[in-house]
Amino acid sequence: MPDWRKLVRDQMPLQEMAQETREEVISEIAAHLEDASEDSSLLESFEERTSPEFLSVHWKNLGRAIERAKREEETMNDRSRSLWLPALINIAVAATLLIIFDIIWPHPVIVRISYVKLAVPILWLLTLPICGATGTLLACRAHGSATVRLIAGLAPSLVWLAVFCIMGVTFALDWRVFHGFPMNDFFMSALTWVVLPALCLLPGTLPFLRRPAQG
Amino acid sequence: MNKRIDSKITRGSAELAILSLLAEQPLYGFEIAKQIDERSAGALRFTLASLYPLLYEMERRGWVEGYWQANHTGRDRRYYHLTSAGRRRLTPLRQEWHAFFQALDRIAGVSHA
Repeated sequence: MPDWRKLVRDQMPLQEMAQETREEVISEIAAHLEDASEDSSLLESFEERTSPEFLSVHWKNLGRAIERAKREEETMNDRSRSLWLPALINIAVAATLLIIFDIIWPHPVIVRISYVKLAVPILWLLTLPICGATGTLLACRAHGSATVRLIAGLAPSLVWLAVFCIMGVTFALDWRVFHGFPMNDFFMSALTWVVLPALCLLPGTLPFLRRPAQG
Repeated sequence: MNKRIDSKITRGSAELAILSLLAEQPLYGFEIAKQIDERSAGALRFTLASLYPLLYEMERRGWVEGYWQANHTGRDRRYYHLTSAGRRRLTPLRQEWHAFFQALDRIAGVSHA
């Protein structure tokens, strides 16, 4: 019985791999060769693949391919591709549009609810379905789940939600600040920057939530 | 007639084949290669060079997870099982291939060949 581990270790260069990972790969490939050598249905192909030509040429390619496949930093992982990148692009586009509209039309629509006045960035809100669609479509193309797509699509609104949550917790912890703060304004601002953007992002997000991933 | 399928097609279908097999039960590398060979009547055949880089890449992507366990002969083998991320990947992949075959059938009538 050949020493399969020695054969694999001698033939396959895996210098760029950590010792523990290398040993594991060698054990696994050696086990595969051992099984193939004992399995009559694959004996012909096994003999082909352990011929001197194969050993001298293709083992090197295999070693390189395995190192590439194992290298984590080579490509973005799935979570980055399906969630963080689409969400960040969505946030960046939404923030850029907000700045542009603030420059070209610095007069938000004032809505009065009871005695509270809300400055609603109406032009920005009207463009948010495009941002929502962009984030969700990118997450969809990266095979993100429906939840991941929804998060990527609503990302700008979720950032504002996080900001208001932090502010709310701060107010709750520091009674002096909380005591003097006009809470109605706080909740109305949350409505303007969290709820309304979420409602505007949703029309762009919903069509891609159940769509099969492509690309 | 040579019934072995062109390598470009087999390469594209490898991901689907592996994920589908692992959706049924955990398997180790040799079993995966053997089952694909048997179920496709030899039309799809994995070599060491095609199987393990793909398995490791799928593991890095979080679609499958490897663990060492003794097989029926008592030898330690590295089994792979499908993760929830792998199941999520499998569903659209099946749909894509289904749509691909349907489209090809409409063009070339491959189901009648």
